[in-house]
Amino acid sequence: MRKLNNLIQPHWHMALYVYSTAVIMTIIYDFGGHLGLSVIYRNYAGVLLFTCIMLGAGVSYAGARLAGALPLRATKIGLLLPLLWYLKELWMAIKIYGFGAGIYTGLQGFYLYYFGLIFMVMGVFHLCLECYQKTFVKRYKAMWRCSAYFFVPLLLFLGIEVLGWFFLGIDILFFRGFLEGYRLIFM
Amino acid sequence: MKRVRDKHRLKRRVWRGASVIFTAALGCCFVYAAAPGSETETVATTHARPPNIVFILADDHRWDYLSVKGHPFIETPNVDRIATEGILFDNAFVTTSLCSPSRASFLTGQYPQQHGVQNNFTPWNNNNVTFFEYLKQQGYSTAFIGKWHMPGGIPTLRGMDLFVTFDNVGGQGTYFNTPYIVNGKSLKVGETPVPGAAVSGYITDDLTNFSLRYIEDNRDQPFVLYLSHKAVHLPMKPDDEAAGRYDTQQVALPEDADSWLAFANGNFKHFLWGSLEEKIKDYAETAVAMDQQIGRVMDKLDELGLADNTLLVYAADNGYLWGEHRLIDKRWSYEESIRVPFVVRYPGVISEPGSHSTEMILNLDLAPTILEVAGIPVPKHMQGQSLLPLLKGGGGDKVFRDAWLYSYFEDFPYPVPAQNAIRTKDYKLVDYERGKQDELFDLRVDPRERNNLINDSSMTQTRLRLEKQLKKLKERASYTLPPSDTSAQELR
Repeated sequence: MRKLNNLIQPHWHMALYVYSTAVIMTIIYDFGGHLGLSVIYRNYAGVLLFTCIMLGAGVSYAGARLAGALPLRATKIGLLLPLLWYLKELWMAIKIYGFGAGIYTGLQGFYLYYFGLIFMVMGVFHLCLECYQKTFVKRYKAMWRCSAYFFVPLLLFLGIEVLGWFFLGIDILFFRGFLEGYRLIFM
Repeated sequence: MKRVRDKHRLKRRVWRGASVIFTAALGCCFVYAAAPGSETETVATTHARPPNIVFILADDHRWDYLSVKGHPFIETPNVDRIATEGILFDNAFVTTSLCSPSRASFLTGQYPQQHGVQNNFTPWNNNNVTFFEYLKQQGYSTAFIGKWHMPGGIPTLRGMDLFVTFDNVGGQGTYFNTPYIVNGKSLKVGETPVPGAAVSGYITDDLTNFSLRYIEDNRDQPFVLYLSHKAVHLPMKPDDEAAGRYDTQQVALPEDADSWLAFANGNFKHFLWGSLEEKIKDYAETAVAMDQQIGRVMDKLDELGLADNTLLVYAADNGYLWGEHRLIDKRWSYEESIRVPFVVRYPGVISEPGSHSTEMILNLDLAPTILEVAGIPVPKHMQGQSLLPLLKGGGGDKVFRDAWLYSYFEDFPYPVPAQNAIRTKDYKLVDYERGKQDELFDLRVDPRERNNLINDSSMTQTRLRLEKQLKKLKERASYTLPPSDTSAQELR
């Protein structure tokens, strides 16, 4: 384990813990029923799995930052698990709808908002870390400015939705607009 | 001589007196019979005219969420009452488990391959002929009240006297404060589409209010009412009375499900974000709220003395998977998705009230049944079969239907593969277009479809036979049928 730890850069350690937890929980959650595992354990596994998917990016980001990574690198590390989950979703869609439409599925509001939220979560962790380090680390030069970037994706998607409702009276990213796009491209 | 004359006079007087008394008595009877609300009126008027037809359609109500089906906690006394006074079909199915195609099949008596509404993209073609047209030609008053929800917007349906619907939220409507559309005219929230009917704000109550008013207004002529509820579709919101009814209820999930399934495997796209148990309770409460309103319709028919001459049918457009196969959806050809409640009350015609039928019936069968009940020949373009022989208890040993075709057409972006299936009494073969291995189930020993026998060598013969049958059924569903307007023309 120590050897493995030495092989992998410390920036990645937390992200890999999160990733490993998610994989183990997926196995328990998705296949526990077949293995005769009671629903209570599957429920616990589900909570941990969904926590990893939603908050894992923030935890990985914090781990990477505490191990010395700069915000940009920590952000890339934080995106590991969300990207893998996203690819799994795309793969499911491609199997059913073919390559083009499957990829297009990935543009639906659910996924865009998911990434918007993931960035926001990393932003919240970033702010907490900056506060913590400012308070407890001597001569720490806080990086407040880059905090704003973490909230841009979510604000952008919300803005698109608001404009869609305001000017067209429809939701753009989830159903109406998204499905119109599908009609235009694939039908 | 005088005595003889007197005797004759007396005889004439007696006769005259008797005839006066008889005429007076007859007059009294006539006046009494004509008095509104009298018992005699029911007999005099209802049996002298074609039967009324009331069809109540629920959305996503699966077949076993009824107390009459032995559900552990849901209370549906009114649907149960239809069943105890009529007939309950234990094996009722839809040919496509999705709102729009299934609804079009109820209206036209055709497979989606014919009426063209195959998913949420393919629009309703207004050349489709609904059973309303035939009934209108026969002198019926016709009303469609409720959820239309088919792609292509709200059509101008031929043969409709009253068409109340809504198109907000892409035709789904909302449980509270839906603005209605009446005969093509859009109304504001709170405006009533049926003069004299109250708008309470809760959609199930509203649609029932409109229906009751319509029934009252048309009590003196044969009518057909199609009451199409939004309930119990997502987001499954009960009214205040039913809300919280099952808060403390323990819900047992299916074996392979868990509490967080609504977030997993693409299920999150249905916005059922919460624990599965809580969502099931919402669903049950919404169904209870709807059941109460169904009771109001039945009470109105009783109150007006129309029940004895009314065909009353309750059904749903599709079922719903609540965690079985780790799915929360319809669309799939699994039993929970394709089975629907189907209960019929038709006093005087149903030979054994309170009975169950195990014959396999389909949503396509509604239109031919309604036409036959109204005394209209079933046109050739309808692909369903009239259920009237089953209602009458006839048919003997003859099997009503031995196999049928299920088709699900791609409905982007839901993660469900396009599929065709053949369902017989004993087996189900599912042919997925892509993305999933085909499935074969022996329903006699595996009614929950947990053991896929597609690769079982002992089942090869059965599989081949079913494949052949499936191919034939698919061809038959897509045959070029006699043009519907020709058949309609024949009736004119």
